[in-house]
Amino acid sequence: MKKRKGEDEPWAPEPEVMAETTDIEGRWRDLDRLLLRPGILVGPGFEPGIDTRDMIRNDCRVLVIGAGGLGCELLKDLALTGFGNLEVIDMDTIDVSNLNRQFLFRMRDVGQPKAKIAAERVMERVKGVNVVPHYCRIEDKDSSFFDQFQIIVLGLDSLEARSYINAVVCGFLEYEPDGSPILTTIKPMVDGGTEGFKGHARVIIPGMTPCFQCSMWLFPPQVTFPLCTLAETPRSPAHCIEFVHLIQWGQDRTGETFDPDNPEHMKWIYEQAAKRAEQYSISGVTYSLTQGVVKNIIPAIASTNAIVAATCALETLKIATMCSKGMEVFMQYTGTDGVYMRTFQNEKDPNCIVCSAGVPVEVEATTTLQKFIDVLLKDSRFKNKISKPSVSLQGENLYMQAPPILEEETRPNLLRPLRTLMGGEGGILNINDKRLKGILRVQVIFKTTDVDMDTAGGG
Amino acid sequence: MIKLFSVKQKQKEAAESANGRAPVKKQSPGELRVQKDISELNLAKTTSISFPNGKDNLLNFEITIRPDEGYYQGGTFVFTFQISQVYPHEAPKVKCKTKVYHPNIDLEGNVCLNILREDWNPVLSVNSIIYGLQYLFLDPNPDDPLNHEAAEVLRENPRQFENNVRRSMAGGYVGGPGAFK
Repeated sequence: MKKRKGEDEPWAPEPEVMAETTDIEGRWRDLDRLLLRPGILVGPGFEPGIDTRDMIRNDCRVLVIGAGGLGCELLKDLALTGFGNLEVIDMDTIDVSNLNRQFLFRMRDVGQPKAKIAAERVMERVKGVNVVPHYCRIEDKDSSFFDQFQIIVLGLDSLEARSYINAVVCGFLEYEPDGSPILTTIKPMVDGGTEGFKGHARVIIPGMTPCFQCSMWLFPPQVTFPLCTLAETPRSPAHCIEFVHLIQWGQDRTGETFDPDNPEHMKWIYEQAAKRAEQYSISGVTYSLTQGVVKNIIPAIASTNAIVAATCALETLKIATMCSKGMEVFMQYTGTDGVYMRTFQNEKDPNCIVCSAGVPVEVEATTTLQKFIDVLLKDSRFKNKISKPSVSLQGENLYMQAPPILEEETRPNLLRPLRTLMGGEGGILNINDKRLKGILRVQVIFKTTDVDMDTAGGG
Repeated sequence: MIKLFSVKQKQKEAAESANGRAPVKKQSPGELRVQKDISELNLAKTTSISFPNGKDNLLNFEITIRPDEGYYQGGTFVFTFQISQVYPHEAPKVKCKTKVYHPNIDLEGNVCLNILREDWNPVLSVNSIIYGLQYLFLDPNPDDPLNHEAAEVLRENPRQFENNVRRSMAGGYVGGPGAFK
């Protein structure tokens, strides 16, 4: 029996491979170990070879959202891993309080946009990487901007931002009529989050794993206090701060919108809260607690960010190259007493209003909205589930059964061709009905008929 | 785990096919859910809804309540509703646009209603909030006050409270330390 080449020998890269690079010797030795040879722990369809390595260096475009605690770590990790084309977007400027962990920034950078400085520093330290900064909000970018990237990595700090980007990315997702996602429309995301000693990393493959909306219901509600408690019987420093923030601001500074990023506004809240606390003999109001209560800021720790970002960067490498089996699908990290990590599966919500396939419904190309509703009512799949449905397309209410003012306004649409209302092609419609627990997503497919070229009208 | 990127396929080709997609206006999950709430609204004849930003912006609307019984009979009160992107994870922000002499509504329009704050849960809806607001006018609660003077008057002297409400709704002046016009 012939031994396979190299079975007993320590592995070394082929000489031709080494000669191609102009980097310092051994720069990609670790990456090459993962990408240049087959193995038993690799992901499905893994193609070992320099093409894979060159793909992540030259062709794969990765977007990092956020250049803060997680963002700095992510940019460093991804650049050092070998990704050659990175872009970063962040709407914030650098603050002194960031410097304990956002290591790409220095005292002299305070006031500058985070994205700009982060990009500069990474390019200085990692030879050959290109990082393009964007100093703006993610809402300011068109969805076509996000479409240019193969993988999007999130280092965000709020539910709203995650919900927004999730809706954008899942909006690219399309399904075959049989309910399977079309692979070329899937844009994977890797989402990381940290809060003090705790953090998470998750992989979102739209159409296959749960999206952010699928598991939204698992988040605990935000802590809110009754307004009357704040007004009548404050007992904690947080009560005093919230009273000033929510009630006293409106009374004493009428007309001014409170801006949590304005230091003067925050200082005013702190001073008034301290006065109120003294009045009620409550201790503990500090400027940093004020920031915490008003902006929901929790003290951040460098190690948590490092651990979560490293996990995310590794998953990004796996998604891009299949060099190892990917995370399925959610990792929780706790560092309060020792170090604890737990990875678990969860299922996609088949009725998710953002990422689910939608029940396919075929209709004639010339059907009107009213006829479409009639088709739905007669469809046995929806028997007893809908009685007086309202229909909407992304961003537009086509027909609302209630309230009377909207019903009147949308009634003319009933007689219009559905295809025109949908912009000329099939797609997803949202159906609401009293009998439905949630929203019914329907994938409208217009029947194509052979057109006689002689009789086909113009346009 | 599924293979999404093939090294053999040059990214330029992928980019070309991707650019063909026209950007579509996105609806946030909050908007989708509030659409459901609004299409199922069960408004009493004392309540009406209006959409200052048009029929396609359901995130900001106004509810008008005209109580036909109780202390506030005959009055007209307008509430603004602001729905967030992550509704129903967060409660809607509701404020009273009309100046009202009420123990649970202050002069800036803040409304003290438990389901708007600590008792909100995602199973509730715009309908539930409207019921809660109507209830505030039928049964003002002096034990949870935002307007202390009004609460005190209601507790000590309901007849005086009734008169104060009548006077304030007619545009009169209701005196006291928190002078109400």
